[in-house]
Amino acid sequence: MKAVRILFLGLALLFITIVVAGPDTTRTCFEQAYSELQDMLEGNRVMSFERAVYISEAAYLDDTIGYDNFRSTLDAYQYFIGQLAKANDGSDTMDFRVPVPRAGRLDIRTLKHTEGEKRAFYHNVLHNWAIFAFLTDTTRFGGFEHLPLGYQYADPFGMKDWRHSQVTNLLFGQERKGNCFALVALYKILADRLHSGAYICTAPQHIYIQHQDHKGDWYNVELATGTHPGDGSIKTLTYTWNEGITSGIALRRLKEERQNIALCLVNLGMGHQHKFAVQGDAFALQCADLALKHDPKNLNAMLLRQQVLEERVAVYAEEKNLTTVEQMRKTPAFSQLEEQVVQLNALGYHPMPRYMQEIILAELEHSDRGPYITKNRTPDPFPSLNVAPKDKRYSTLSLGRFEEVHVQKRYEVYGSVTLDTREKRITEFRPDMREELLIDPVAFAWSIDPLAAKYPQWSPYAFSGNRVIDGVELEGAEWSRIPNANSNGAQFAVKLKVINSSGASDKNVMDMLSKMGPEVNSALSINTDKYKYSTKVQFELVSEIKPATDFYIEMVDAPPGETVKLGSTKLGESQINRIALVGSVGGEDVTNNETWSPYLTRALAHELGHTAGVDHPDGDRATELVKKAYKAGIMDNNLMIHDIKLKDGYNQTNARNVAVDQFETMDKTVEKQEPK
Amino acid sequence: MAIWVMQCTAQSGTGVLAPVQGQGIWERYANWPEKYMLHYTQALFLPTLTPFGLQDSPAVVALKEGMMRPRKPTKAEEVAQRQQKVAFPPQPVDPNAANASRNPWNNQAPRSPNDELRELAASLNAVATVNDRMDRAGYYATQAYKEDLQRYQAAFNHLQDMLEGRAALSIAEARYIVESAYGGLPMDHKAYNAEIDRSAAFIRQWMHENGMDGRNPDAVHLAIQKFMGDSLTLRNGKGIDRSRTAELPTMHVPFKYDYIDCRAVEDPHNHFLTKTLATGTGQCLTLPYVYLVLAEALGVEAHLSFMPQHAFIKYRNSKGVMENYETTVDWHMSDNEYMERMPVMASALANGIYLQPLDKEQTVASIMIDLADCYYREHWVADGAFMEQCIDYAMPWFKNGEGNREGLLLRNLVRASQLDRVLQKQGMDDLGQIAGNPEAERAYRAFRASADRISELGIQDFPEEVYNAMLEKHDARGRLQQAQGMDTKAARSLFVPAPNPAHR
Repeated sequence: MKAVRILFLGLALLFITIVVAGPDTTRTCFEQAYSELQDMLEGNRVMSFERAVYISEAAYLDDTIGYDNFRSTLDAYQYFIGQLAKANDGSDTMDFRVPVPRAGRLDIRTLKHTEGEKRAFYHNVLHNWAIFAFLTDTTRFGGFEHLPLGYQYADPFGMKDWRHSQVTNLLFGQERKGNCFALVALYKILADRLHSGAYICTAPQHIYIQHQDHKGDWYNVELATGTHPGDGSIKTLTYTWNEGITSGIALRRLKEERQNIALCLVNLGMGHQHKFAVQGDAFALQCADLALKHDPKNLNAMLLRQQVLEERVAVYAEEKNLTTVEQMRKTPAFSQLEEQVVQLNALGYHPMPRYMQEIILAELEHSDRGPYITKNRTPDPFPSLNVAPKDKRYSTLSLGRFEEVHVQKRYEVYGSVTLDTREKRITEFRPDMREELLIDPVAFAWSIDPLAAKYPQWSPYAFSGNRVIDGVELEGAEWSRIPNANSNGAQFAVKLKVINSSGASDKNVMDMLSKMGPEVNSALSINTDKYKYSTKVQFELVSEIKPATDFYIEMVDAPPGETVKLGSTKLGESQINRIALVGSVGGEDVTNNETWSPYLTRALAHELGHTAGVDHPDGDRATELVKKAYKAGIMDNNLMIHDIKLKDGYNQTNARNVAVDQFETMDKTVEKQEPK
Repeated sequence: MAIWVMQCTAQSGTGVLAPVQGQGIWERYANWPEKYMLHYTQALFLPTLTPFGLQDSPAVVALKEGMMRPRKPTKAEEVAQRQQKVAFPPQPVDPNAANASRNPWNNQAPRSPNDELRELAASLNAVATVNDRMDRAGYYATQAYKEDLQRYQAAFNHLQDMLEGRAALSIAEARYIVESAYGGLPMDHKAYNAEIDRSAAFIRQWMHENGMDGRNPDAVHLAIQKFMGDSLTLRNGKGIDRSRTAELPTMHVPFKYDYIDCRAVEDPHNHFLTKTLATGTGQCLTLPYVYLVLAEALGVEAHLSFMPQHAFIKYRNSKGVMENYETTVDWHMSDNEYMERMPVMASALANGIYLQPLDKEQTVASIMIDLADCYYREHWVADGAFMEQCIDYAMPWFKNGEGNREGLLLRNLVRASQLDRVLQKQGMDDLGQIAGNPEAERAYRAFRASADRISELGIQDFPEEVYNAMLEKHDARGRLQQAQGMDTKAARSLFVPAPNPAHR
């Protein structure tokens, strides 16, 4: 069986390599995909979103991936997500029964759903959580971890490379990044496989997921940012008007499978445009028309249709050298275009203003191309009066950055055309306007962060105690601590990179540090009845250091021009993130020298103390208590005593005590450094 | 690059990580052998034969290269591991620890005996007041109930007359009719009308004194908003209507939010306009009504608009743009800002339930639904006939005959009550028992149909934790009001003498 399968796949691959080829075969690919999607929509073939996504993308990629590969990769995803859900399934400990109260008021909520439905809700939200966690977070399996998929910040609209909006690119591409369509389509495919009841939702230039929580309430899922914004945020950032929501073209949940298939059809048409760059692409128009036939409220299909018709009118105008709108009316494409734009306007669609595109794109791409100063767009509730600011206080979700109260204007610009909204006629046609667009209105691209920091962050995953973020690693704090549960104190952990710039060999350096480690640990630990502090250091030898961000030990040769003696002050020194330690003197390796080792060990522990914020007992930043104790002469054996002040001169290597007060300083310093 | 991790080689040995305490979610993976995942995938997805030899399947390649990297223990794990190894006295496990016995369904800690007592008392209380099983036989046959029902019926008829054009359409009048059907009002009809009249005259006079044009909607709305949210004084008393100005009070102080029982759970009067006019304190339902009756008296257009468990004012400014005014805080707010208060509201908005400006008829229809609510608060559901009569008459005024949250919820309540009767009659204590019982199944289906419709229309509750936080905040502010010696339920006129006579 194995052999047969391998043989078959081998043949298939051979076949593909032969077929990969000229535009004619590619066009056939598109036509085949079209007819298959048509069959699905017309009920001649089983509808499958997964298949629809694949064929609509494969046409663009000349079918280089192969459906089997696509599916088997998804099989792997499905398996891992299933395991993730299984491991976190707590349903065996839950009571799903529906009790009827014997007395008192009736709780309608408890009656609403039957036991079976409650179980289904739990199953669904558990699996939705698992998909969400797998796609947006680092998840761990045994000894491995799976990194989250990324959002394609550099090219959200797929304008540079159409593959950025493809699921296949997300699965097989080098970067594993995609725009919101790719991420959402992958989520939907996985949700369909795991039967988790998640739905695709669309807004202008945006697509996201909605699913229910364990009580049946709906939530939005934003994969690019891993958040759950409210409808208000999505509405604001996609420049959706109330009319668009009411007419059903924006913020709509796609309840039927054919609506999902229609999205793929639009993508197929766009893929064709991107592949062949034909003006007035008949194939794209055909796709848009079919999509609209089966889903009349598909905004993207309408916008694609508008785009193609505009191109046709432009071509016609150029051929005949026409300039005025009245002259262009002769072509049938023009009346179709007018009809389309009037319909878009009637349905409450309004293109996002240029200033908004600029701000949002600049934020998305981190390009700094946005305006430095933006106008305050907070509406004025009393336009005819001059009133005090207090009397016109206006709270908007975007804090005045974007327009939130919309008014229909007499003349509105849709792509290349200007529409007279009262007369329902096109008054101006300027093909060059399209070129000025920063975005592709037909594509799904935005990523939405909840706008309102003032409102709590919704989450449908309350059932799991919102543990989705468990897998996130802390970064940045090299000193870390865990406070003790039942005594005063904490456990510290220190991670140090080691770079060897001295004459000593790498092996010797690491040998020395491995011997030093336990001694340093014990120097920086205390265990009394009342206080328990402990420290563990870890070393990692590296060949390169980023001086700005790394925390590291640099093994150095003795500074030129200075004689380094045992116990000298120059055995080590510390800055904020760097400890220098002498590894060789005049080219002579001192690291594994039995005479030098105790001194170097103490020096390392001493410098480490500095990096955790502890000063010399006579230093400025030492606590009052420590200063007093030092003056009283009871800190002679303290680790933090400056070498030169050691009682027995330089020859002291056993002064390694650390006072509780100093541990507390360390504790406070480390706590401050930790990311919140 | 050599990686040399001292503590790991010395102590953890195998590299299999111990489970992290208190972070149960990954625990079950902790004992998996390393590379299990890759082995599994390799077995599942066979390599393919290519001209260059056997090649890993894309799934395996993806695992090896992009997706998977040898796992490094997290900082928390490392520290926890160390914590285990530090010679610590073993911590005794407290069997009553809150975490040990949390209810996994709602993640709540177990209730204390006190909680249970309180709950029991509450439920006994509820039984005493509303238990229809106790009252059914006698209560709905009593003369007192029958007379009261007639009063409700008369109120319904009056509202019906208004909506059908046989009586003057008036929000102020409709509101008073409904509240007086419930009874026990702090002011009589005459005083109520006089208060509204006086307020309108005050506003007119104030506008006149400040040179504001009464025909400009901006000016009138600004004046109403200042009247509700600010302290206004009249200067010279010489005004548009000389006969009236002499009687007018000199100063009006703002309305205050009443945090105590703001949901009117304990006393329905707290949701009454008469209460707000009498005490000067109100909340998100009554303050918009104050606005509406003032706008009505001043002859300017204003609309009631609903949100989940909330109401506010919409009006058109002089440029025809619809503005929102939040009466409880004296701010304007954008629709988007309102929408962000719930996770998902778009479909309810599309169905005409939220953020719609209600016209005058719709407002009166919505007051009729309040009438059903008053009846329910006074007489429980009974057979549901009167409530359904109100709801069935009022609902067609809204979008698609179902664009009103309150009406839908009350209708659902009637259905639930009917289901409850059947369940109690049949002695069922679990919903699972209805299978095979046609009567119970029918009642359940009717209830479910209305409940499902509510969900389909996009109505959903606030997330529990958000709602509780909101209530807590209200509770705290209520206690603050009490501590400040503010009695929000006592009659108090907002018209006061101006503190400084020089103002006159």
